[in-house]
Amino acid sequence: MSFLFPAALALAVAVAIPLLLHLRRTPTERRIAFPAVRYLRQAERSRSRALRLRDLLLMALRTGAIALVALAAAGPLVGRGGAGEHPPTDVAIVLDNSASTGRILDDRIGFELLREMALASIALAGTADRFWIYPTVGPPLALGVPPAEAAAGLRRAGPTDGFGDVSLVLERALRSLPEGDRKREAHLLSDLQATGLASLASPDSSSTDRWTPPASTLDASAPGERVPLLIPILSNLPDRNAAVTAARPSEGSSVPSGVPVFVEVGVARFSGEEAEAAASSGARPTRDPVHGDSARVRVDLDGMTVDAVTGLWGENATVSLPPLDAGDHYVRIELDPSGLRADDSRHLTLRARDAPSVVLIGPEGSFLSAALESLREAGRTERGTQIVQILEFGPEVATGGRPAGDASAVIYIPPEDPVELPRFNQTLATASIPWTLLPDVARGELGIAPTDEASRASVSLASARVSRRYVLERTGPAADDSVLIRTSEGDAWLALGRTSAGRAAGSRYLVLGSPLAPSATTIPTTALMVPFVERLLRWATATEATYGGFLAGETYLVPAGTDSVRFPDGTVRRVDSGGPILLPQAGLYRLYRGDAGMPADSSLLAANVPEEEHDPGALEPARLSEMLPELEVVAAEPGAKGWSRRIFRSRRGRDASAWIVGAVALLLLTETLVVTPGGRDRMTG
Amino acid sequence: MPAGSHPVAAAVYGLPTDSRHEPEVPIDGRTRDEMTSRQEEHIGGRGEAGKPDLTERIDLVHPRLLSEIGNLELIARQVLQGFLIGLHGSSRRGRSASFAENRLYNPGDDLRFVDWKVFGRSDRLYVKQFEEERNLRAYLVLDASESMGWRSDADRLPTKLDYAIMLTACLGLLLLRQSDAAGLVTFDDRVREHVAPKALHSQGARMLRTLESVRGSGGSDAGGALRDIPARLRRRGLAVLISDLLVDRDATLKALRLLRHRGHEVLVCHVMDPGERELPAAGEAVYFDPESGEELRADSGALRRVYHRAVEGALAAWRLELARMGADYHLTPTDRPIGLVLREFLDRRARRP
Repeated sequence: MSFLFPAALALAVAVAIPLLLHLRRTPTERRIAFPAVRYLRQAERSRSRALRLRDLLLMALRTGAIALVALAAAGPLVGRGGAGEHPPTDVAIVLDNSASTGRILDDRIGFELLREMALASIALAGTADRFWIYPTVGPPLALGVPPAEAAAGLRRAGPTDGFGDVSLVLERALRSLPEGDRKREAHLLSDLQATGLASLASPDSSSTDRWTPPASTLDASAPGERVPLLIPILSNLPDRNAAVTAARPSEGSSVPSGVPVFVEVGVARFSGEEAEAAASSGARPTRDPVHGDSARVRVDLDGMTVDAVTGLWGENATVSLPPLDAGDHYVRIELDPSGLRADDSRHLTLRARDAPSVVLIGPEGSFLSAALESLREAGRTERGTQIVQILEFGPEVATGGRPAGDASAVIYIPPEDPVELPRFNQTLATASIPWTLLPDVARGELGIAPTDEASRASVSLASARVSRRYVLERTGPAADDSVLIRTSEGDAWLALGRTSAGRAAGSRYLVLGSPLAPSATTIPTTALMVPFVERLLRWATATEATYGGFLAGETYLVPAGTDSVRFPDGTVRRVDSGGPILLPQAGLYRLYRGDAGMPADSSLLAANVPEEEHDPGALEPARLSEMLPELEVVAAEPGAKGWSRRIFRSRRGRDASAWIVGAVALLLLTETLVVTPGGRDRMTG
Repeated sequence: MPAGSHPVAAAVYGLPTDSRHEPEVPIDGRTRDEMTSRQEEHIGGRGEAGKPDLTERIDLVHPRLLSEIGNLELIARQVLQGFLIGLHGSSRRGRSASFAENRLYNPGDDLRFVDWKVFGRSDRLYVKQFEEERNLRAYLVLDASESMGWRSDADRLPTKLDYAIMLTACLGLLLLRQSDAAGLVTFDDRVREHVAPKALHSQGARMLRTLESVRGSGGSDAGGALRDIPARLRRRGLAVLISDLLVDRDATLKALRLLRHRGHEVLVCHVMDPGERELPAAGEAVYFDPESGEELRADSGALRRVYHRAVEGALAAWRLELARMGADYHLTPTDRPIGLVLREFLDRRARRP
């Protein structure tokens, strides 16, 4: 209820008048001789209680009448006005379209409910109102537009499986509201997922990470008033969730064809209470480690279920894929449906390729040749069309030995004898490889440490030792150069690159820092040798695989030449070659080159739900109010009706003065009836 | 008395009334014509030919007008005279075993006394008249307490004491006229005056003098005054208590029971101001009893109905208690003409076995 003239409420002080009159009524001093007092006393005794009640009733009637008169004078406005019955208002709407709003409530997803409320906001707007609409995932839908355009923008919005940093978007939305005399409101249409508001929950107020509201949250049009932040209450959304939190292929995304592939899968369960507690303490939500309770994990390969295992919550399980044919493959790891459907599945893509043919140039009977023979016998080489040339440098290798014309990659193994090193370096220079080897001045046994890229390989080199090595030194700028393995001292030990000049420009190369001989490293004499050599071959032949490391809600730059993309929901959209696209959903994206109707020349891309979205725990509105003292947080009842009642707080209701005056008349009539002899008799018997 | 004087005075002295006054003096809210016609109706109307001159019926004049005359003896004798004039045509001569004469039947006469034998012979209605017994010793016990000096409307009503005095005087003279021995006791919180009952011709004058000296004051010990009477009435007699009954109820009833126990007849004339029976709308005030000093703050408007109920209850209680002991109870409002009261008195006396 609001008032046209709130100052008139001061008249309500007048209710004290009948109260004082009643309490401090001065008894009349008129004295009348009356011999039959005994009858009077008898009558008075029997009626005194009724009289007291009558007096109290009269006092209540008179007090009520005065209070109502004051109320009527103040011009009370009851209820909420209709559409546009409020001063021009700038409204910032933050529409949460993150993955957590995909939870189902009453057969509808949460996002639809939120968007319905946003549309209700617009439906109640006047033509002079302006809207700024920010989804938590994706670009703004409207910036200072009238209601009609805002509604159109809202209808374009859809749910995503991305992570919505609500606090960040809210800050951006509040900053966008211009300062001035116009009323301002912010509508935060969100499920208030705690992880999305984590930056608000930092317990350290001095922390630089803490969310700071824009300076303009004070309502300039009404001094002392804060900009209202209206939030809905979606109390019935499921607050428990299970998710596939990880899916890591043992071989990385680029796997050899024809061999089984193992995928490590993580499953976890989340409870809302735990998430909220974690958010309140500023800590990251933890997974719910319910041991003894298991989850059924299914594995689909290219649409066919190929494996199913039982995994424990909070622990990893390993699933196996059958040997893959060469080419791109789509793998989906799936749980039974839970609160949030999007993260019940995890998606990844694998690129399988045939093992290359190997041309070894080097001494006969070396450890390397023995390892290659073992691989060949196992069918792990000599299958595909690619050719890898290995130069195990020695006296028998001619200086400047060029790779075979059809070799796609060359692996350079330095000589055991340092005397041969200049020739080796000359060979590298001839091949336009920007690396050179220097004799190692340091002595002693060193460990080797694979870089991140290398660590994804299945080969564990932790037990390997290097006792003699050359120092790999870069001699010039090198495109795509990278160091895959370093010594424990941090020096490069294995370099990978692609030549940029010469006849073999564009071919891959690998340069090792030690000869594969027992005098230099322990690798040849251990079981590591064969896997390590196979690993070298894969590095040498690896192509860029899309892998499953993309997150829904992120923007992705499509590779040059891409014309269109098929989204997980089946829609195909044209894209700008090399341009950005938003990955709204978790799932498989197919990138097409050339005619969109011909998927032969395509590549795959898998996107998954960000880990912040797994935990559905929400903040209580009261907690949000504590976190945002700069704003006037107003929680609205569930549903569009409850929302409509709260928004546009400056709306005027209907003037109820006439009704109150009628009520006053009724009270006075009642008072008259009580006071008049007839009424008095009725009251007193 | 000059011509054109007050109508009551004219009635008392037998003077012609001043026509200017007659329609202009309302009595109890009614014109005199209205009142007399009603009184005539009350006492039994007659045909045009036999209609008495009501201006001579002083016994039916409003008590307030009587009290203005001031001379009690004059009032009492004139009222009694007027009363007897009215009585002359009726059968109110009492009854006893000794038959006196027959007279023509008048409407209102008791049909029990119609002489049917004469009717059979003459085809006319006659009623039998008897000689009254004349050896009654009666005490008139008058309450002269402070409360009796009150009236609710000084313009329209006499005080209860004035009314009671007039009534006592008339009753005394009526008794003496019937050759009964009449005595008088006045009391407030104790017995103030005592006139022993005698049937002498001078007894009336003694009683009137005593009554003229009565002033209302003090409390009201009716029980104490009544307790002496059995000892003074050596043989069966009559005690008439004239009081507003704002007395110690239990003590009074006890004394009356004693009288009845001794075989005496008891009549209680409850003199009551109309303002005591129907509470006037005086609003909120402190009401105090001038006799006891008892006070009560009350709003008469709010209590009117329940007060009326309380008073009626009290009257009913008196009536019941007195009836149980075989005593007569007679409610006598102070706006009631004394002649009517005397008639009722005689009626009650006549109905007694």
